[in-house]
Amino acid sequence: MIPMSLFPPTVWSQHQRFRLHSSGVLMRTLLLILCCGFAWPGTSWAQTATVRGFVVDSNDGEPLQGVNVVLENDDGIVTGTATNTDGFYTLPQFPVGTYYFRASFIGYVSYRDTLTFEPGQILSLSLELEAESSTLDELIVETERTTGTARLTAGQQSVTSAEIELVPAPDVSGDLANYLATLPGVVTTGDRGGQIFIRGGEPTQNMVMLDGMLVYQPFHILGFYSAFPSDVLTRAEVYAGGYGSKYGGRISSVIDVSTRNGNKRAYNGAVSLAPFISSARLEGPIVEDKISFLLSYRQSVIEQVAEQYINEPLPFDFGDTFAKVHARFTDASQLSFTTLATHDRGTIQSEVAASTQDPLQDEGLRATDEVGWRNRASGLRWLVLPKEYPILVEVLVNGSQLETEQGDPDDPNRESSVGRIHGGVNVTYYSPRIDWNWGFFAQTVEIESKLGGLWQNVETRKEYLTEVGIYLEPEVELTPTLKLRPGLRVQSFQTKGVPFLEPRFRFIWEKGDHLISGAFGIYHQEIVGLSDRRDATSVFTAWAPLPLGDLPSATHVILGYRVTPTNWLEFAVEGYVKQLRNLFISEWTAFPRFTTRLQPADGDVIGIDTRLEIRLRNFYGYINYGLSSVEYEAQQASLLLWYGTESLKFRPAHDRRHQVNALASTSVKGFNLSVRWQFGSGLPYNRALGFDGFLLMNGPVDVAQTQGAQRVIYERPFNGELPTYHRLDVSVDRTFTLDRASLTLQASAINTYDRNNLFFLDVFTLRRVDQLPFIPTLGIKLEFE
Amino acid sequence: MQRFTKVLSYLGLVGLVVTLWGCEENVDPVLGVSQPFTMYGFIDPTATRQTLRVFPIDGRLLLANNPRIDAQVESTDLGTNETVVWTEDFRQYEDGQYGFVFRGPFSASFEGAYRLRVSRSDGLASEVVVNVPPRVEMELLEPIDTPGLIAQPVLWGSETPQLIDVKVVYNLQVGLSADSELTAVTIRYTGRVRQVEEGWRVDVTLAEDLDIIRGELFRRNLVNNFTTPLILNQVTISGMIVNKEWNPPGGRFNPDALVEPGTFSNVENGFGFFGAGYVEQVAWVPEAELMRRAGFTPPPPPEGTRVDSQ
Repeated sequence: MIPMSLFPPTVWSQHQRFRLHSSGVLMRTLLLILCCGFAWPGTSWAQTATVRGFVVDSNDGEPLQGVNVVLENDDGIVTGTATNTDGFYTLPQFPVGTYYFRASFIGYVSYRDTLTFEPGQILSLSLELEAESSTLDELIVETERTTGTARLTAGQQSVTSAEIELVPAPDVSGDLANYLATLPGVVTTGDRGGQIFIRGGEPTQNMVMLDGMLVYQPFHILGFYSAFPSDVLTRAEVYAGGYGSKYGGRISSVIDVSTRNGNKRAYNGAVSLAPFISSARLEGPIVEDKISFLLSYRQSVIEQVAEQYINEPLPFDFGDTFAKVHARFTDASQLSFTTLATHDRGTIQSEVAASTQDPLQDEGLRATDEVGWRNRASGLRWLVLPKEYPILVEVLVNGSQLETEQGDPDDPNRESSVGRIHGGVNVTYYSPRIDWNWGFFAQTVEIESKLGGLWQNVETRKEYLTEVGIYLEPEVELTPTLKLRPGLRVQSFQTKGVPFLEPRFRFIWEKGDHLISGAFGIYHQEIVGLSDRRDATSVFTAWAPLPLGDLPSATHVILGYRVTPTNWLEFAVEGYVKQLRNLFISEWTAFPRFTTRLQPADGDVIGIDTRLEIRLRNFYGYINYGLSSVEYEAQQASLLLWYGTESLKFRPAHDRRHQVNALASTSVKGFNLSVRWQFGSGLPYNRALGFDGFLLMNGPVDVAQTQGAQRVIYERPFNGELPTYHRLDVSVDRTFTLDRASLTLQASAINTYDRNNLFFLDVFTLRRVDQLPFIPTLGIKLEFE
Repeated sequence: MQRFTKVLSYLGLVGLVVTLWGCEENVDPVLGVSQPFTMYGFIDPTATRQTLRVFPIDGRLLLANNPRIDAQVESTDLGTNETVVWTEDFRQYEDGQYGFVFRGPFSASFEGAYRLRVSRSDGLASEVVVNVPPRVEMELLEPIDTPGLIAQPVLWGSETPQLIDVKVVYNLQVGLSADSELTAVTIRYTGRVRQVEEGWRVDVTLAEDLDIIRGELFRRNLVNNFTTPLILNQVTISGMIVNKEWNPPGGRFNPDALVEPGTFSNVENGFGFFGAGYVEQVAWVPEAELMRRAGFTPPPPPEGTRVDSQ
């Protein structure tokens, strides 16, 4: 068996090759890059041939990722590669002749053929592999080896639905959001709010893509759920930083989600019922072997079900609808149409816990606190292999929209919407040592806000912004052990009128069991999300073009080491630094709540992730530890007056210094048991000394008639630290196979030892809102064909 | 496998330590302070009673209605040692909240010194000592009529400790007809006061102010072009003469800056600001020629009238 690539497919390399190593020196290879690499298509091309195509599962037509495709002759392997997320492979520009062609994948019957290639020939050869039912268990083990929590490469990690399913959740099906919360460096607001901070970056600095479409607010209001149920996705690439030139416009992280295409051979589906959310999925062929569809629908039932037996209001209403149609026209052309709609509405603060003992005020607070948002995204993705060139072309045309509101559903006092129409082309030209990745895009962003007056000192209005850009990112196999991926992205931002150069660089060095990887990149963001991070429950975000000054930017540096000493143990450690510049954060003020204004700030993030992963025959587990520090330095004009310094350094509310996540999963007599324990050190918060009132004595003020403002007497910002957070979740499930169907029963328990984990502390009213208490759940899922 | 067991043992130990570390569930969000009160107000030597607003420094934001305050207020004239107990005068505002107002039934002396003490039943007290500014005369100086500046200088005497809240009110008639609108436009002269050898001086810049006045009249829909005649009936300038402590850091009354507790405070063992001062004003009608040159239209009897302050 040919070993899998050093690089996670679709991320570092859409196309991994290995070849019989030839010695080479650095200068020689650089010369190759400069001279030969650009020689498109090059004179040598006429003496070589190329074979490429897609590999799918013969059972349902879904792409198979990680299939080894090789050409051999009597001397052995000449060249080879592994398929990417789309099941695509290419073996470019090998010497013409007759070869044994083989495509193999553990658990599938290998495809073998003898092929003779003519000079200049580009052969499109798509394959279907048939599963070997006797080795399915082995298949699971082998495919997971390309992913896993410790499979960390320069900030990038691949996540499969199988891994998501292992994390206990109050649902029979897993969800990406629940998995992300197990990663070190990822801080969430907890069970409520749907806000994720990745390695120090804020939620609006994350770019989340679904089949190439941007999803502005991809996480539901209840923290277990995203817009992506695990049974529709094939893989999610999570870049905690240091992402390549293909991505831009966000300064913290990228989550790139790919979904399944739907079964092209038979109809099947699933329905599930659980106390938090219920779902239905249906897929099948529209034209057999050619066109398929996949539908998924989820709707929360938490208000109707869970709330009844935990005796605590859970005022959340959310759901999502996903639909995809995929067409495979020829061996060299595929087209898919994907659409997604989500809705969320709820009150973040628990009514019981939040009671002020005054019914009128409680009612007023509820109306003020209720937030809602709706995502809409639709897009086309066309993959094509031009007949005459050894290239893969991806064409994306899509639109995304987010509408957010706060207040009474019938008369919200704040509304914000942001939408984007995007068109882009990504091209990869394959040559023996270098894959030339390049692309361009154009997009128009529409932003509109009605914020009930001036909020965060941003003037709100309807605006259109146009952005265009281009990138080039060759992937170079410098030596058999060293691969480089330098990149340059040039992007124009309308508000600035000048193009921004964003150099990127990623590398991997691997020898034996050891792997060292690193990344560097500069990033800019024009559209910023404004919210009041002083208040954990304030999830309302207004999107706006940069209010003033320079663009928010970030510089990422990542260096990691990974070792696989045995086939059951893997260990990874990765250090990272993020310099965040020209951020806009809430101005510090002693006025309570939404009287804040924006102030410029810089942020410095530094941290280390360590991950230990164990894979035994009947046991899978990992333990992650994250150590990080996030420090903001604000430059508010009044700071000199208050504290005697021109800037103020403080820990923002998402600076969780220590994180531990442990997961253990095993099977006993057909029962799948998963246990997850998570721990997080306390988050900073604004500790108050007391409360009084404020009158501006700027003249002959009638202090009797003038009501004045309420005021908080704070310590220095974020000087306090909330209690630590920890929780144990457990789930047990068993699947029963029926005739043409399977039934899965699941029992789970959230917060098993009923820890009172603090979610939010309103220092103004001393109202405390905790995360979810101990909640046992039962779920059932029926899958049918 | 032995190695594996060892690794798990270590992990278990780490987990135990971390769990014990994380046992604490409670959090005390409000630390509390020793200062009992925040107070605002000022002693006005031209008034027959004084007013004080008191905020108790509490461990909870005053969302709930609470009409009670544990506070007693008394003032002492440091010149005569006469003590006056102030009386409560609760206010309830439109949103239902109470304001704790205290009245001091006495007339303060110019240049007097007073100690104001707000005490709680447990003995904790906040207090402030204020010095009342002296009586100051205002004076209209010779008008300035140069190509670059048409202005009326006003001078407060050198004994003025501080001068704040200076504003100019223009009383106008918009248009020439008999039924023309009468209106007034107030222009704040914040930052335009200069301390000179003779005292505190302000130049009322008539010509410059006309542009501001026209802009304001546009905003009020009283004029729709720049040629509408504006008859200037009277100009009034007022300023508050206050004690020298009534001087915000940074020189500006910026609420976003001054809201920070302790930033602009003269209260011992408490917060807030309690000062002393009074308003002095003078009104006059500029000479007709000066008005014309500034762009105004003189009133029908084109005779300047000087009105001295009270």
